[in-house]
Amino acid sequence: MRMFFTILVCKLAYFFGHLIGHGSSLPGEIALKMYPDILSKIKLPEYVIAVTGSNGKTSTVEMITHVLTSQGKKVITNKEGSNLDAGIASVLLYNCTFGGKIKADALVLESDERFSKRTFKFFAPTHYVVTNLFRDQLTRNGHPEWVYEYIKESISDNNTKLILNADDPLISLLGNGSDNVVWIGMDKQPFSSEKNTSVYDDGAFCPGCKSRMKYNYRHFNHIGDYYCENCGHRKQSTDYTVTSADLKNGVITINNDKHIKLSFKSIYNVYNILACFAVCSLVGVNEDKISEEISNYVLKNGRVVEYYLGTSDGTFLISKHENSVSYDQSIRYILDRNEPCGVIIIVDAVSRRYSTGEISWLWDIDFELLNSPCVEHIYLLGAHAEDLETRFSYTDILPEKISVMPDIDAAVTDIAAKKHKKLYTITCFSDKAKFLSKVKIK
Amino acid sequence: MKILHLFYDLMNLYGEYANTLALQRALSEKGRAADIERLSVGDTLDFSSVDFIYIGSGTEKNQKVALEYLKPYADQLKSVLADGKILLATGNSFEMFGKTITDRNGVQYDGLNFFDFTVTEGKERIVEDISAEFDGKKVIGFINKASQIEGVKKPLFSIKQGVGNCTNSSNVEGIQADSFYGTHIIGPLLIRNKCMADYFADLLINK
Repeated sequence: MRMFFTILVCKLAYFFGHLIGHGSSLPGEIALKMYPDILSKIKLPEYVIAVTGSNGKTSTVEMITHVLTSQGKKVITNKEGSNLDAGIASVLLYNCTFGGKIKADALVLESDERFSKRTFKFFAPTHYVVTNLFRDQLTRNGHPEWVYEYIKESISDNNTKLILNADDPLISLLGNGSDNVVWIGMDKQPFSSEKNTSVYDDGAFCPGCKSRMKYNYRHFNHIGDYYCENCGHRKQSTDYTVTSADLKNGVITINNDKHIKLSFKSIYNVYNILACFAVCSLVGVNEDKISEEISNYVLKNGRVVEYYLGTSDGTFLISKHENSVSYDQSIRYILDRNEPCGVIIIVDAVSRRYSTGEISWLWDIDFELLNSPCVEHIYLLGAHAEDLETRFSYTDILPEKISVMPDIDAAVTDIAAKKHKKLYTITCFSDKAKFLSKVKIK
Repeated sequence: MKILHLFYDLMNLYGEYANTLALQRALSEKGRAADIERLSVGDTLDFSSVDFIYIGSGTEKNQKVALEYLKPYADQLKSVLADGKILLATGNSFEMFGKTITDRNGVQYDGLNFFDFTVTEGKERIVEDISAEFDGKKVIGFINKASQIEGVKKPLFSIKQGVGNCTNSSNVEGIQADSFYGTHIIGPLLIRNKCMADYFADLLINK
């Protein structure tokens, strides 16, 4: 009776909340207050797939959902932004019967890396993907090792199959002492390098014993083939492997056998596809079908948007403020295209969730990379345009190649008149609409 | 002149390396050239040839590694500071110079014992934008820590907005004793506050 009543209230709150355009965490909050351990009483589907980590959660969840749905499975998933415990409770309770049964074949959940331990206190995933740990939103996350402790505490059930990125030395520590791990990773590629190519090196020391760590190669930052001579921590041999990745032509091969075409030719996308492939294979989807469904798959989550501004063709690349790796990836993507272009960087509101003036993360981004002949001009926009200007003044990029334009509206009008053949815009969700509302979306 | 960036690859969170660049630029604007030397775990440390020592923020684990590495050099470091060499430690690196650090699991580490303060790490992060005052000038930045620092006799900043050393003395932050400067304020401090970069540049020039 108590369950029936809680679910009823949750469903009603969900329904009325959506009528007035409110977010989806409130119904879950109410339900968890009324019946704190209700999630342990729910009858879950056969597969409960969860994805956590710094980067790639939303895209990986979207692709897994796409593949499973294409195979006729009924999938329930949470939308981005409802990845905290209350948001997930909302989704689960809204989608279950009054008797507490979720009528679906699979749950595919994106889970915030710090809230996972609260979310998975009352139920455990059958498959738990941990993508990576990077410096991300450090104003609330502290640093990657701090977040690691939260993720570690979220793994409590030996029946949970962990799908871990073997190329990330910190994530790999999660596999210590567990025999229920599936390792995923990427072999050495033409773009892999021997040295760290980032401003900082989070792979300099072994995350386990803190001795100096060595690498055979790195794909980017601390992601690669590492080994510690002191404690033996090293990249594990992988069960699902990107054996070749041709980012120029946009084709990858998994396990020397399955070829997948990339609609977005970034190394990030490769890791997300690999995670999706592994999970779908583990839950029994035919690997040829997975490859077919994921080939040329265009993400619908608005991370890449093509636009026109004046006579220019533009590509909008979502990066994340407070996440230097995502900026580095966007910059590398632009350089890989190697066409004459203008680059627009917008930092207006650091976060959409909280107000802060914390901008130390600008110093972790490798802006020096933009000192390239293909970059014709750089436009720095938004309330933090002058902070960006200071950051760029410590690169070798000539000041005359840089314009500082705090007023985004005025800047967009000015840039339209510059007639670059190609433009790239890099910014975060918090500032996305401020730009995209001023241009014509293709 | 020589600026030593100590533990550049171990205590390297929050873009703190830029503090050394800001100081180098402030010196250059005042007509003085400075080199930046980077040393870390595995290197032999000799402070006699440097004018300024900088250490930045790190994870709680990395701070303990830096602390152990510094212990054999504590006397040498103490004597060069007594000779007037300047040390700036930002973030949790300045915590190493106190009496003890107790981590979130209750394990206690002996500090370098330059000062009497004690450090207690907790399980919650303390994160806040900061507005402070130094020498009559406004200083801004951010604090990102998990520690309470108690028993500081001479703080560096008075806090106008945000947290201080600990809950009991939230209106003061950091520590200053002769040529030792410690603060949890990141930003980086010398980038966001030109007055601080100029202050240290002047100290070095007028030494």
